[in-house]
Amino acid sequence: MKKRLVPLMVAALCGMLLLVSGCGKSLADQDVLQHAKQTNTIVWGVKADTRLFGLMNTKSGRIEGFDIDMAKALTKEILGPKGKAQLVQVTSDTRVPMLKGGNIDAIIATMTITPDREKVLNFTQPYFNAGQSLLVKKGSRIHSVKDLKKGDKVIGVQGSTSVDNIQKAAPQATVLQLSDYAQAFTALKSGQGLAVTTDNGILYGMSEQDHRYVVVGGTFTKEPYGIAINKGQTAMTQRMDQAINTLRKNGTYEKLINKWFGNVPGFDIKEVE
Amino acid sequence: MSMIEFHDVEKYYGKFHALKDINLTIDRGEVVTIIGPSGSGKSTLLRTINGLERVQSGQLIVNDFDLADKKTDMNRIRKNVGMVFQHFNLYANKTVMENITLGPTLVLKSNKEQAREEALKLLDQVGLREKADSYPSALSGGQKQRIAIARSLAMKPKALLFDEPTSALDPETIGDVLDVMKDIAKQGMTMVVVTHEMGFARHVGDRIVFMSDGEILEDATDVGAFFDHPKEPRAQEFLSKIINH
Amino acid sequence: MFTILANNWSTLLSGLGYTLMASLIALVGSLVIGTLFALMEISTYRWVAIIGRIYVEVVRNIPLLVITMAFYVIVPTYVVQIDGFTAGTIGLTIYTSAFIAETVRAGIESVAVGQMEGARSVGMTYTQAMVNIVFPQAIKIVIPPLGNQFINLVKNSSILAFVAGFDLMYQGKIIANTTFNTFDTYLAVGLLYLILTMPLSYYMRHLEKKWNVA
Repeated sequence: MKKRLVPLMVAALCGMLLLVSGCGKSLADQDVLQHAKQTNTIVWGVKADTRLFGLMNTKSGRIEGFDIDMAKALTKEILGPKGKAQLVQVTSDTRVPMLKGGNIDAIIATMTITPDREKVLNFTQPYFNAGQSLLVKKGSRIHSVKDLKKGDKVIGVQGSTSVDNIQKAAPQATVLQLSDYAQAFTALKSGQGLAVTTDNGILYGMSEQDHRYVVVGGTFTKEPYGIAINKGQTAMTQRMDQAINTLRKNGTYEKLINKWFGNVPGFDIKEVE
Repeated sequence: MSMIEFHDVEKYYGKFHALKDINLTIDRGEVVTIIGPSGSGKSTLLRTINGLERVQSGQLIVNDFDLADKKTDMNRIRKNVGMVFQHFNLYANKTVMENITLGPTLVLKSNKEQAREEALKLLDQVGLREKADSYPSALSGGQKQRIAIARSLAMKPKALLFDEPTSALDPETIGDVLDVMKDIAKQGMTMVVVTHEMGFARHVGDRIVFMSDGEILEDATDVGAFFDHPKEPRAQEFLSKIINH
Repeated sequence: MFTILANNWSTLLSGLGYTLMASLIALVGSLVIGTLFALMEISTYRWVAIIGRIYVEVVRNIPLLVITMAFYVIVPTYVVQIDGFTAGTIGLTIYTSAFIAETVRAGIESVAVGQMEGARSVGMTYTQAMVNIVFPQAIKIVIPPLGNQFINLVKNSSILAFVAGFDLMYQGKIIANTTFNTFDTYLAVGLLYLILTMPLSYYMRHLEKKWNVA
């Protein structure tokens, strides 16, 4: 009895696996641009925890930010004025699996274009020129990484690559590593260091929150944000690239940048576009 | 010439009225014993004399200082009025010699050698010279109390207070302590002794005070007459219990 | 674990140095402050006793992290610029002092009242009686629990890691974050803490024996 059951179960399992993977494949492999046109909807993976890019507004219950507005504008550009942008919250850990699984059509979530990622994903042209920068108190003698001298203290976050980067860029400076961004910013405010260093996107968020602190010196690493689409979705990638160009030309891009970053003291659009 | 004067003294512990309208004058050189049932205020009365307890109202003059006055420096009183406790209160962390010399060197600023010599004399007086380097924990109760008396005497006090000095002792060691006390009395020391030793009260004391419920009920200079015919009913009751006991 | 130790020897050693320094400063500081507040707690002046009591109750019921963050953030903002090491060491000192105050108070109170009375009865001042009679006896009683407090203090010094105080735990965290060899790193860090706490523990036992003979 039992012996006869085993091959049966194996067969059933194989069948199920085939079915599941087959379904997944069919969803992810179909042309997303075509599917989007059919449903008149693009499903976007967005962040809901990053100030200025994609942050949940606890009052309205809506996600708001530059990434969100870009997603909406791109949807209208691709599908026409009646096209719908459906927003799905993702985190840094979940965004790639969700895209691969076909749950979302594209990721616009402060995602840096890297060679490793390009092996498994398609990227559009950069839409935001992110990179590591410095946040300092207004009027600080630090205007760029080059001003960091021996004994100057720079605040970073434990376990992030930004600590390695600053140690390479300013080897004489002392790096204080705190446990998270909030603590790092608090330490800067109480004068424990001359600067906080991490992605400029995050630093702009801090600066926007407290105007006495400004981002200085541009970026000393290049970590441009791009829109990710599943590998092989050439039609959608090309269409998306085209749409970004259009937004840049017709002034929408600049309008959105200004909407979100115009309020950040000392912000220069040339640094990021 | 009076050494200790109580005038209309009252003492309360919260609501408890511990001493009621105390009037008592003790002359220099007098040996006064205070007797009475437990909780009658004898120890409290004694402890007010060297400022271990404060009085709330009335006047208490000891060696010409007013103890009811908050400005009076208690340490000056205590230099002049020694106290011997029921439980000895020898310093557990000091040797017998140190117990005796610590007061003179710290408080009277005597030089160490001199203090040591006088301590040896006092140890001879209480018969415990060989215990000079022992710690209190190595002594019997009676020995501890004789050392405690020597410690008080080392301060050359003008008066000595005894708070039930023999109550915590084994019966066979009581005699030695009483002998030392008699000796001191003979030398003309002003002594106030709270005790249950009726023999001492009768034969050594110049005067006897009977207390009950915080009041002085009898104050007799004719000690023999007091023991034979106490006037106060409560004193009669107390004596009959003690003697029959 | 040995590769971690070998590759990061100088980093860990400097961390050990900072931990040792913070612990020593906090040990002396908290002993002095704690004893002071213990004396306040048993004071016969009501207000002094109340202030002592409030200090002890408030400080020992607040997490060490909160006290330390207060010194790291609030003091530099409003009073004077202090770095993470200083803030952490002050926080540790204050926090431990409350526990030491309780220990010392209990020790003093366990010395029989008669000892104080005996000393006062020969005219010693309160201070003379405390210094010569009560303290020496209280110390014997207090040494074992004080030893526990000191060992806790050394371990609690890891609070410096939260305020970038360059101590052993801070260096350990950084090594763990860069090597991703979390287990071995913390094993090495634990071993180095043992190097600090074991002699302390042993010394306190030695003191305990020595004082009990006298």
